[in-house]
Amino acid sequence: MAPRRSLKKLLPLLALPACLLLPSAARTAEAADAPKLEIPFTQFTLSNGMKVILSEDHTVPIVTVNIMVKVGSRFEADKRSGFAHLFEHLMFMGTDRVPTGQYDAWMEGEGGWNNAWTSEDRTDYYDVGPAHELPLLLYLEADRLDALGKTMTAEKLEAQRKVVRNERRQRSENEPYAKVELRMPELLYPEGHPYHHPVIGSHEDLEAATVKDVKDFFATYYVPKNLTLIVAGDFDPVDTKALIEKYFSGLDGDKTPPPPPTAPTPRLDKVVRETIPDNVEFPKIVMAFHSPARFSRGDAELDILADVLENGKSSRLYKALVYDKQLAQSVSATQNSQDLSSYFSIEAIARPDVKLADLEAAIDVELGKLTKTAVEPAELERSKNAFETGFVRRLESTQNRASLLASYATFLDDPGAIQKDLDRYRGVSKESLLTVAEAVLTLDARVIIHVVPKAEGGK
Amino acid sequence: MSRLALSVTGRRRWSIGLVGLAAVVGLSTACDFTTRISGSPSVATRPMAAPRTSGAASAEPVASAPSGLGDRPKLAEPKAFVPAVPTEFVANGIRVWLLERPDLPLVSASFVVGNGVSSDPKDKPGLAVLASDMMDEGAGKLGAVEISTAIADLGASLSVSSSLDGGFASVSSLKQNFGKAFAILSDVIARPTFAPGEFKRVSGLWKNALKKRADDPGAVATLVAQSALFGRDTPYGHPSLGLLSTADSVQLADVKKFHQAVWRPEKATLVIVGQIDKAEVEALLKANLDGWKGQGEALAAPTITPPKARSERPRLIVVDRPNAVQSMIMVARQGVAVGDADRPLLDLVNVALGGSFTSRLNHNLREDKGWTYGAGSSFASTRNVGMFYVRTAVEAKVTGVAAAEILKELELMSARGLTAEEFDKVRAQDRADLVENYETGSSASGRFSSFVAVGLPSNQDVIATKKRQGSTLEALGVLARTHIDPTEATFVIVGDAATILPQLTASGFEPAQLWTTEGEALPKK
Repeated sequence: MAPRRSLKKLLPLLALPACLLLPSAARTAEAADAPKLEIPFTQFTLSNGMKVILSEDHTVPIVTVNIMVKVGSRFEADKRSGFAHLFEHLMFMGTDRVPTGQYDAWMEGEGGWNNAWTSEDRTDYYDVGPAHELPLLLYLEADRLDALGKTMTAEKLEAQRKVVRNERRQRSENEPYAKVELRMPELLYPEGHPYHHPVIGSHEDLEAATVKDVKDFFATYYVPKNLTLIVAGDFDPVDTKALIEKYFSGLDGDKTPPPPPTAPTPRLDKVVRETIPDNVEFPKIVMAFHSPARFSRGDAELDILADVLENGKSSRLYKALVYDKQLAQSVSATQNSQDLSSYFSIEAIARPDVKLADLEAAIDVELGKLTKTAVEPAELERSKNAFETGFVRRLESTQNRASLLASYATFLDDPGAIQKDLDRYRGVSKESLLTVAEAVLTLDARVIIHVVPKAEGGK
Repeated sequence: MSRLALSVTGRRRWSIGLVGLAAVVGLSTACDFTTRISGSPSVATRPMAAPRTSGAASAEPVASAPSGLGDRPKLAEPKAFVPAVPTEFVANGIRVWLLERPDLPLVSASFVVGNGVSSDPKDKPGLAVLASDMMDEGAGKLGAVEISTAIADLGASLSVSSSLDGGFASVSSLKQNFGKAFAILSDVIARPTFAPGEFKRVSGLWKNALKKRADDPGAVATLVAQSALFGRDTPYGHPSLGLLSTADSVQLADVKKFHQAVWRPEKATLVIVGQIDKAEVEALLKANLDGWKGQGEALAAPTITPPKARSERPRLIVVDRPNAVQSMIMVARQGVAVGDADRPLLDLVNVALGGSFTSRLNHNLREDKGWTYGAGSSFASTRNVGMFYVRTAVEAKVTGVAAAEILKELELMSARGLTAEEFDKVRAQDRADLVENYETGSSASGRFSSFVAVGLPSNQDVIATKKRQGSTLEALGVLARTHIDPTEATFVIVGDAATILPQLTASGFEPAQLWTTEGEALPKK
């Protein structure tokens, strides 16, 4: 039972924000033969303000279309938690030209498939299909960006409201330990802060959403100036550019999206504790600290610190809690990067008969060391190497490359930032790790949630 | 960002039905029951999807269209694609499948053997999984922590796992570090230490994982369905992770014996994909595995006669999960083995029924009724047996009607087969799947490893797609009747018994048998 590599950083394509916790690192001595990381692309902007990025690769006859929208759950109105994600579902409900159900039917009928995700800061839609299907993929995207709002109905809204409420039940309510994810944002961020509620929202707010809300949200955020379109894979750039101009130039470019919501950097001045009873066999502890925003100073350091804490049997937390003292069944550490500010979380499931207080104390010992003594050079090197390999792996598929381009374009306004991102990790030193650990891992200011087995009837 | 649900909420998850069984193999990542032995196009013989004259539904352009959007575009024919097939050779007595991929400086290597969970001794379920977990807990000159550290130092990843029919030990790294990573992998397969102290620790973690399994309704549904279908004491019916009741009987001596009988050069195939050539592979094998020899008796791959599901089994099983807001429904019936001549075509039937977003099950239960976040189905096949299953998690209050609706969809597909439109779609999906399955080195490597484990040839996908592209609507109709018919299916439902039992009765199901989370029937009250 090895601690499986921290695939969580490298695997979940859906967790796009994670893509940006991108790996990098050249061992200094071998920097010369470190692989060169590059995603070739060209870009242009349509007359209505929509950004377009093309990235050709003719290795296999596949194309990916990715549309990233600068909107997410932090943009939601009061009493409308979960709306950005509910809206994402509604984007698939059809128009007059492409009636309900046909967006998916046409796409799958030619071999393609699609998916989408919503985070606090972004909403992303992507289609993957055989190369010959590209004109249809572009047509379907242009169609809904043109007509989704005016063809929205109460029936469409009701259908996806039910689906989304079941998504909440499945992923948050009937899943072991997942209720923590609903509660953590509420404990970390003050009322009124854009990150105070979870992306999935509350049943009550989902029920309250109206057709007018949908139309307004579409008219406000789904406008060309707020969209970035990526086409990656096997296509002809001249024909594709012409087709994109034909399909997307007609979208109304008059509207400018409102400035994104901001908030004062959140702070905790004490330890906030909560206990959640759950349908589980073993108790679990989850703690979280406020941390620097995505791509700001300290963000890369925290990715590396997470790796130092949890990746491999010699990592700090695994070695101490799982391997040596045998207090924990599993441990993890994650820098959850977000636009306004991030949070760093640590989780551990206790073994039978271990008290959460003892587990918590053992975690604190390890965190205390990180804030007082610099990590060993070998630990830093090791983490950098893991990130570097992960970075190269991300270049394997068309789908990943499109998603990286979209992320860099919308987060940094620089689709070619892959090298810059890599350099963030190469620049991490044991001194910068110590500074960041000391500033972030404050034992007297954090959220600590204990998940405990329900007293009766848990099984 | 490990917790997708926290900040990232994807739209769809019909694939829940397709990945379900993977979870069950617990600690391992590969599982033959979930391996989709699926498709690849062959250029010349491929019939194209019928031209669409008017699309799937009326779609007249509207007057207010932005300039240039107009009608649904006409598409060119799909481009021809034939996946690269690996070079096969023997080096140092080990079979090798090598696929050179010069595009990125990555190499992945997997040693695969054809024994996994289905080779567990009857009284020691979980042994294969535990034995593979012990392989990287010290090997060659390195201790458990040292292996992990050495791999991390290289920026590499190492994994050892068991599927129903196979054992897998893999390493993946940048080209520049691959030689050192391969040396560690070689120690792991040929020279594991199996130290008593490490066994005590690892088996402790394993027993806790067994205890935690009851928390997860998906894992429980799967193990109950497999137990019901094949019998809990059979090679394919026992839970891959093992059982709480017998866990203490699995000892280090069993692990050593299993490893010795399974991990041997004459039984292993090396699947290697990436920036590497034949001479380099030969040199690596010579340097690292020259003295590797099997000792004692080898374990044969299991054969099951007859390879059938149990004929006497309950039609409805409920596992109580008090106060659950959703019910996990799994419908299982006899499927086919990987080598069955009809196996490739069944994927076409399944894509229409529950293997795509627009499939009947997902459309009905999710898009039409709104009862679930997703519904799906799959043909899971192993070397000897197969299972067809449907899987979905529905809101507790609609459990009865949802189960009835699934039954109706299975009966309908069984009675009438696919529509002409579905037939076009599923073949288009098949052609596209082939391309995607071979787009990256890691996906190709995964395909090859799964083929090795169950004894299929490396060009299985090419053969299977050719067969699928040449199939007829009539032939699929006949297969649907034989393989989807729910008459003998078992419905397994993990949910709040007090809420759902009356609903199931009202939906016309016979009285439920109550089972435990360990896959045993409770005595009748």
